Amino acid sequence: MKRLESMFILFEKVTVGVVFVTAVYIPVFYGWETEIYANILWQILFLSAVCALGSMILPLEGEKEVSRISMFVRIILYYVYINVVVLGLGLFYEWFTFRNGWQVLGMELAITFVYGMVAFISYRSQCREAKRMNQKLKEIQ
Amino acid sequence: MKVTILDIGPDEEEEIIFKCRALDDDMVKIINRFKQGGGKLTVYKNSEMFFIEPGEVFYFESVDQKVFAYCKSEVYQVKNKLYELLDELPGWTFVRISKSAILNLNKIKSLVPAFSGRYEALLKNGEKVIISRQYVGALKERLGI
Repeated sequence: MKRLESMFILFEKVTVGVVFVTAVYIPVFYGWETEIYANILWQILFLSAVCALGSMILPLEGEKEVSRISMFVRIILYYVYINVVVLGLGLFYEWFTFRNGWQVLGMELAITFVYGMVAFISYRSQCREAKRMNQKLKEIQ
Repeated sequence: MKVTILDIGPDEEEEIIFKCRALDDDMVKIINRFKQGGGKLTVYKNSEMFFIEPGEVFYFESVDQKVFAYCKSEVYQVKNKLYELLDELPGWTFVRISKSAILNLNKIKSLVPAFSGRYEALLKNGEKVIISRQYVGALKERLGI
């Protein structure tokens, strides 16, 4: 249940990130006047869901401790997984072509941006949690 | 429970006798408390025995099957296992923070997020200890979050 909740939260964050980079990507590579089909919304939702599914590789709070190296390897593997999913589905949905190097670079930048954005939001959330704990500590000390 | 106090002669050794039908958990806790000198912890350093207040301990850590009590600047060895300490120490003050450590909440200066869902506790003596992700939930629960 906790895992599902965590994946859903991640799904929300990824979806917001993907919508944002899509809003930038389409005008840059296809122009402001481009018309898009409604099915791109479902494609984005599906992409975000598959990305969130891969987060099972990352341990949750309360789960068995993993070493620092193991955690680092998992983060790298998750990043690789995200790349494979986004580039694979992006190619399948014809969002880009490997023949256009700029589009590939754009996709890579988009992936890195969303990954970084989600990581930053998660870090900020941990900071807020730490602040609450510090407040509670002050109260009991 | 009946309490009987007997006067003894100046040459007699002071003694506490527990009379019970069975050694239940409560009785064991009382016995351990007396063994430890009335709520004080029995600790060792350089083959010498000391009695310290549990509140003086910043954290306990198990290293190579031995348990150490880290105070402001001194380190003592404790003969108890970590799980035994958790039973005997004041529950609202001490909390398990990893497989090998118990932390005194009163000695935490601040908490900051660390890599991979862990937290780092900066203690009032300047030391830093890591709170394992596995135990973060229990800590939050203790703090009422």
